[in-house]
Amino acid sequence: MGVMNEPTNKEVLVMRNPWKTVAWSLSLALAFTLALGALGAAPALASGPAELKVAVSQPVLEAGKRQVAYLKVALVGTPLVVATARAPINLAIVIDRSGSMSGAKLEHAKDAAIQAVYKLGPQDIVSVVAYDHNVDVLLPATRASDKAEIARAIQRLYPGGSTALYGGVSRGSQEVRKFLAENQVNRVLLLSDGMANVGPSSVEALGMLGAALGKEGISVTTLGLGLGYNEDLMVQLARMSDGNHAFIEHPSQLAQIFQYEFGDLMSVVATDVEVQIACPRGVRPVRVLGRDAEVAGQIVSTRLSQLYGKQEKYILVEVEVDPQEAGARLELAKVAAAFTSAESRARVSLNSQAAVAFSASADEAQRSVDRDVTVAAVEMIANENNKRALALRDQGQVDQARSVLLGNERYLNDNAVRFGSDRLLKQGKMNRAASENLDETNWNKNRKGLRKMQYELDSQQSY
Amino acid sequence: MRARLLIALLAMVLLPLGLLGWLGAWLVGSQERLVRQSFEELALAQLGDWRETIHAVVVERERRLLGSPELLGALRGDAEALRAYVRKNPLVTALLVLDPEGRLLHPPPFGPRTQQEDDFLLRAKPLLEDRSALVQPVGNPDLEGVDQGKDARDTRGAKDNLDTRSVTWGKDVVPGQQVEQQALAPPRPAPPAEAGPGRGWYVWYHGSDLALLFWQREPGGRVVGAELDRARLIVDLIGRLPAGAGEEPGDRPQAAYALLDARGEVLYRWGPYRPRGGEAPVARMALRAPLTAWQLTVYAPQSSLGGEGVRRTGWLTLGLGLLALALALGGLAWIFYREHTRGLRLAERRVSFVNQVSHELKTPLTNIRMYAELLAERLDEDDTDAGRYLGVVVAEGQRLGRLIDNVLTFGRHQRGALRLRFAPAVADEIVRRAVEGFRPALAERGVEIELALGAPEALGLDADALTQIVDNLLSNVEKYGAQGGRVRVATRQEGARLVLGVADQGPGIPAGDRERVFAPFERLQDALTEGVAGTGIGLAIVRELARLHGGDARVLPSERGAVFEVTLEGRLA
Repeated sequence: MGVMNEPTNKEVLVMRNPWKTVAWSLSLALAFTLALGALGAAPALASGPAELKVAVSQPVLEAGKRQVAYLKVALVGTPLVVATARAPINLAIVIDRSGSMSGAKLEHAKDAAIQAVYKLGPQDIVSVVAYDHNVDVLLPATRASDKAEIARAIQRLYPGGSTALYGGVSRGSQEVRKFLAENQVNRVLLLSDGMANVGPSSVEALGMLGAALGKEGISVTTLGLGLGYNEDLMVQLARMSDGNHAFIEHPSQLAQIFQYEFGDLMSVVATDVEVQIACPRGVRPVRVLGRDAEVAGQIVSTRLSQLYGKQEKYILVEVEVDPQEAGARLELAKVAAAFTSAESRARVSLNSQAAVAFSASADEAQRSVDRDVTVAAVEMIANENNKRALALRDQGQVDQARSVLLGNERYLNDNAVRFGSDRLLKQGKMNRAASENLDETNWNKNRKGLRKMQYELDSQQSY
Repeated sequence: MRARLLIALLAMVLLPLGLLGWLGAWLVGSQERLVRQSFEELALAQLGDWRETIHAVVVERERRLLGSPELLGALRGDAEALRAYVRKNPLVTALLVLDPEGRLLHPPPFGPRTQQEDDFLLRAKPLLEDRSALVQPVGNPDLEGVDQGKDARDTRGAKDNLDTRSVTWGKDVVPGQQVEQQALAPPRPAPPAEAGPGRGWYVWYHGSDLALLFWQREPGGRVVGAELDRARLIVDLIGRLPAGAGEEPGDRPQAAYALLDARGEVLYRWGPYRPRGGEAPVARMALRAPLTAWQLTVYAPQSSLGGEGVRRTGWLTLGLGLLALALALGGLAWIFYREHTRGLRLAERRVSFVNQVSHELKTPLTNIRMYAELLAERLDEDDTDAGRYLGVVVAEGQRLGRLIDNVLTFGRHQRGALRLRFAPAVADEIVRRAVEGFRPALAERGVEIELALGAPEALGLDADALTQIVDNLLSNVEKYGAQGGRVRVATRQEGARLVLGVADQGPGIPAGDRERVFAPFERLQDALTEGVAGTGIGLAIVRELARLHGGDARVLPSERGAVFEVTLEGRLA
């Protein structure tokens, strides 16, 4: 299971019991009983396919005050050493063939899809679904051994009528479901350039669809092509199912995006990832920034469909900490993560925790600020502001939106200077650019770009 | 005459055409109805199959939702275990647990809840406000448990026991309008305990569509409900329904099928046809409980409905048939018309030929008669033989003259050119002169003439016509009535009316033939008339001339011989 650097701070449980739920609660109980109090950020836990990192924005808090702290729970995929050890991919390529796709768009899409398919191995499964007003399965789920046959199926695409997006994704998921397994990357790759107009078409309905598919471990990556698609709907579908989202302004970029997506798919080191964060009394989870998570009292749960190698996926939990005396120590959270390793195909559990100390000295507290966690928190908070600005712009309140974006820029810049973060500086610039592009000219395009950026930050997408 | 012919011919063409056209139209219409009806039947049968497919998905859900070991395990655990179940189970969005008294156990009513659980409680408000649907007074919990065990094994049997509550979607609900938590129908009275509604569907409206909850009472009396993930249900239904246009067999009519939600919005559509927006479906069918608010519909182009296509071919065939018939009938009518007019022209030519010949004959005959009469005056009284011969010449000349007059009169009548010239004359004189002219010929046949003249006063009439009438009547006597030996010619004057009677003692005319004798070219076929020469137009001319005078000619019934009576309406001088 890899090298264990800090044996005192972790438990590694390898379970092959399919009844994860039961085992999961057992392991959680075990984690609680065995957990050792530790000061500050828990060191990284290396465990084969992924590391679980838990850190607090400020490991030393001022005594005697009710304070807010950010807890960053990150999973970092370890790059696969041997490429063949990757999880098998079960992919449905769902292509919009509505009339608007005709010409260069469809041709580029075909080329990109065929190129990408040639990267797949014989252990992978692929299906091709095309939809206009109807939904057709051009290639039922099949082993990606005869690639020429798959290429032929993709070549059969011709442009048709309207856009039955819901049906297309449903059928795509149906093809994936035929060979659904836990230790593989189950993915629907949706490429659309238009508004859904046959079947359920609301952001809410597509979000529900994404959530339902996400529960099964099927992620939907949504590629929006051109300026005609509904970015809210595409982002929601990707978000609820933990897929990627991209805004592709020009069809010629399609090949590149397919490369990225397939790069992600092939770098998957773990699937079916569950994370549970339990806070003790005195620590109250307020909200979760970025990803969607379920907060029930003291327990925060979230799930990811997969972890990619070399990538960090994290959630930020804002917690309110009750006042404590100087010198006291408080455990902030116990974190348990479980996932299926792509390499060993076994269920792996990781546990960690975070704690804070209390000091009478405000200086000491300030000095303890964790740069990495705080930068992430700033990024997420700025992203929330950015979303608020977008909502204001959608309501036609352009000036308010502009002032929110400019305020956001200042906030990002201040923190960039404080922590010496180029990342925050770059985002500050993006917020300024966005504030200058709120007028009608190119708003459609800029909005798509913004939505894409927001989602990229929320989900820590690699491209 | 010609107009009547044309009308008859038109009727001959148009009547059958119209009749056949009407019949054809009726046939095409009924054909259309038939095609449409059979299409609808086919479509309904097809929809019925799909409805069962969908129902099978729902039944399968029932089996997989409750009573599964995963859920039973979670139910033994705490709220977190139930949450883990919901997180892992793609079919379910929320779990509901009520204690035997109907109190909410999960989602925890007081403890911490997730956002999803709060949302669910808000969604399920109508259900929570009226829990009687789920919590019925149970007679014997043990018995209940037994029933449930049986149900769990036999879902088919349990299906009939399901207490499915659903609300019909009101027609007044405008799609798009937010219909939140619409009131449910009043709860039905609890069925007897032995049927035990131990499980069932609870269906209500939330937002724009259905929310579905499958519930089941545990042996201990606890009620466990699972809210169905609608998105996943739709995904599964789409997976079971046909894909695209590909699976449609070629000979099936072009059609599109759709699954509609409670608002009538399309959830999924398939089939090669592409309906226009707002197109009304040809047939529709509601799904089985609990999805009764959803429906399956069929759309089809008018052409495959027996509309356009069948109608077009139907009308085309009918039109072509009618055109062919019209051409045939028209051709026939034209040939008929041509033959008819050719016959008419031929007859006219013959008549005009006869007329011309008669005209040509008249001049030499007049000369012959004039010189014969002159010769008779110069003749010696002693030369009896020569006198006799000359008498024959004169008589035959007169006869020929009468014949020619008859032909010419008849010709004029045929051309419609017969006119009378009224002039004051004394009828008796005219009659007497005519009779005198006949006397030699009648005398030769042994016929004695009795004159009873009673019209001595001058009247306005056509003298030539009267002469011709008398001549023809006497000529008739000469030909057919001579054997009686007597003829009585009588006249009578009644004001302006002249009545002329000619009665012979011959064989007479049978009662049934009294009218026929006046028809032109009619000669009574009788032993007596055999070998008698005649043109057959004499009596016709008598009647025509009498009628031109405003009178008539007829045969009076008599005991013996033929009795002709002619009345002429003269004009008082």
